[in-house]
Amino acid sequence: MIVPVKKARVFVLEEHKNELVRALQKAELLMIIPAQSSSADVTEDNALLQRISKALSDLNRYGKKKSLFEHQEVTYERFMMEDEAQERLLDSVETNILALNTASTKIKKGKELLDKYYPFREIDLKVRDLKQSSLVRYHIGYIKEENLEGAIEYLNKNNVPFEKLAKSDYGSALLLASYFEEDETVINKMANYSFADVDFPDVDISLKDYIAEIEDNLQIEQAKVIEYQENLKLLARSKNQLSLMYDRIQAKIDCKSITFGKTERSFFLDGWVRSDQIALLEKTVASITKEFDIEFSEPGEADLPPTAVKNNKFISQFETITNMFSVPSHKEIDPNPAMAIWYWIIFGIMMGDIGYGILMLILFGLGLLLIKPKGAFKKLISVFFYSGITSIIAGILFGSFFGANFDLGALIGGLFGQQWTSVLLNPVTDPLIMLGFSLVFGILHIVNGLGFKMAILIKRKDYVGAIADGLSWILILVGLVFVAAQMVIWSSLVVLSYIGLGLAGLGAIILLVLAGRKSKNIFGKIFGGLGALYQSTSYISDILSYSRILALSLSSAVIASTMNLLAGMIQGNIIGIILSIFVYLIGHIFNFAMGMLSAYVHDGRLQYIEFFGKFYEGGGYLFEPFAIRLKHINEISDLREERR
Amino acid sequence: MTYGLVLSIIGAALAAGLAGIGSAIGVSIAGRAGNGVLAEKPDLFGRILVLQALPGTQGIYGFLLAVLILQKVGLLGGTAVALTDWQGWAFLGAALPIAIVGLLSGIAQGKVAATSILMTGKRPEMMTRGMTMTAIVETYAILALLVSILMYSAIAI
Repeated sequence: MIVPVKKARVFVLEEHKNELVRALQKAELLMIIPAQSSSADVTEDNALLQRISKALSDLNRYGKKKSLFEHQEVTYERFMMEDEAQERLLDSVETNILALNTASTKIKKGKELLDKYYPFREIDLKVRDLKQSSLVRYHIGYIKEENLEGAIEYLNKNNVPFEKLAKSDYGSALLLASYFEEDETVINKMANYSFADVDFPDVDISLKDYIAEIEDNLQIEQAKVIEYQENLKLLARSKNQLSLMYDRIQAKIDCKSITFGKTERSFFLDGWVRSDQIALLEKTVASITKEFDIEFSEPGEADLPPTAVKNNKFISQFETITNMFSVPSHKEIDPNPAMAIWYWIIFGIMMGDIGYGILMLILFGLGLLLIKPKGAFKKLISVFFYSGITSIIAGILFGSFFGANFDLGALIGGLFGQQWTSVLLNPVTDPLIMLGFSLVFGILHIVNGLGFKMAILIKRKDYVGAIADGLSWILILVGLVFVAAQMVIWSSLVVLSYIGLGLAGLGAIILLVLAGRKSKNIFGKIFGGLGALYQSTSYISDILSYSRILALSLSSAVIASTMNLLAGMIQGNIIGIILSIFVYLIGHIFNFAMGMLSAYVHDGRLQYIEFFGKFYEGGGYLFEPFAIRLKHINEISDLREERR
Repeated sequence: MTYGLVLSIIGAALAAGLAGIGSAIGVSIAGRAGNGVLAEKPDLFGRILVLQALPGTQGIYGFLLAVLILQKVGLLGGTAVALTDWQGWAFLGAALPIAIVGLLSGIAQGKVAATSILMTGKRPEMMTRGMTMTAIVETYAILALLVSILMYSAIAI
């Protein structure tokens, strides 16, 4: 049912503004309409939010990621508390991350240097002496292995002193010395042998000591990295505190972003409130200050109020299906109560298996218990959970348990020595009867939709329209069901057929007479009527669309029994039996998943196109009161209890 | 093995084969779009996988009818029935609706699924609407399956 919303304007004095916003955020009663004024500056808070967000994602690498089953709850008081420990935590996470990054960079650089100079570690001469030699120039560098021989020959021939050092990935390391005057020629020649000169490091000590120093530094930095990582692992344990801080800062930003309108002496806040929560809103504001005023008004013509939908626990879960199509507009009849029942039943018939139904109950029941989802996702899971019940019922009526024949009635009857059966209809063996049932089911669904259309038209005082567009088709469709029932089931009751034809005829006459009522001239009236009868093609296609109920229940049943058949075929010996378990598992999981997907999609389609197409307009938007938005924390415990 | 039996096998082969090809092409069209979106938004994997799987149903329908035919003619866990020529032709005919419509609708549905995936990439909250759009193509595969099954169950052996 759709609860009407009212426009509220809350006046308070300046000094109570902040308190009011906090209280409203806590109470979740008012959907605030932003005023046309600039809001407070939240740049600083947003920067803080960014920092926390980064720290949280950094910590994810060092601690366990929050598992799906972890549930973080705090009290409102704890949530709102500005905690210095949280800030210290954030600071120390950042310091550690920064230090860790610095150390890692140092290690990376050290390793590069080591890589470059390690083959020269045997040179026990001070770099300063090598650089400042008065007669010769020293070179260190690498030469490719295949050119080594030629280069050595050249060096020997020209009496250039050199020393061959260790090999590395770059080639063989060489140290050579040449007189200043010959230097250019030697180096040019050596370059032809692919000798690559390496600069001396800018140090005074020997290369040997330099390498040792780098190695020492590396060890120190590596020890530091381990230390910082340990620190971070320790800090990651209190990650919840940062999550809490994130959500608190977000709530703070949300409060600050609220803009008030201004009168001469006071400030006011506009918003939508559910008409059944007006007293609560007054109470909430009164708890802040005595100096306030609230004006309530009906939404005006120009306003587009949000839609507040209120249903019982069962129906409300199915609202998510309707909202996916479109949120009802505030003036409409709430389609959810009827839609929920139809969706629930059709889903069950499409799954049509006791085993799959039980699986749905267990799987989605556990999901609700352990994951504790929120919002639209929770509703969807609940829809699947509830549909498990109808799947079991449909499974009992179809006599199917994981694709195997299973007659619950016979089982219970056996206990009492009776010949009972609970199998009304097996879609695999009697597809025609099941088809008929699906179509009749569809007609009832459509008639229900037309009934809503009539109700809407009557509410708008368009009585002729209600009869012409709603009643006429209801009569035709119900009449046809009567005729079909006489022909298929009760062939002796000919009177049923006459009643049916009478109803259908009456409907057709109403349609012919009234459908062209809006045209001015006689031709328009006649063609309007005939045109309306032509609509019957669209009704036929709508009704035939319900054959998918048969097709889906058939396909899930047949694939399930095919899997059983395949598994049964290989159960020759012990290995076969073990293999067959895999066939059962994989086959049924696959069929279950595809069946769920198909049922979800096609059940939705039947609601959206065949059912909603008859009456539903939608186009509204949801009533979402100003509230604390929780991203990391699951719940604020005492608020939940208050709302009960 | 009779001529009729061979025809029924060809029917089963066409149902599973053509509808399977349709689905394979369909999911590949959708999968290509999906990979493109995933490169930018890896978190959408779950939603996109669901959309990609939608054109896969035609293959299942074809498989379903193939198994039904093989079972009825006794080639799956039973003794083969000596079908007459006409019965064989009838099975072949019954396989055609889902074989042909499965092939073509699978491809067509793949294209819609691909655009739904692109839409989901831009606006993840619109995913279920994309699903509905995609599912509407499947209606005709379902009708074809239905006709195939009705024909199939009408064949007396």
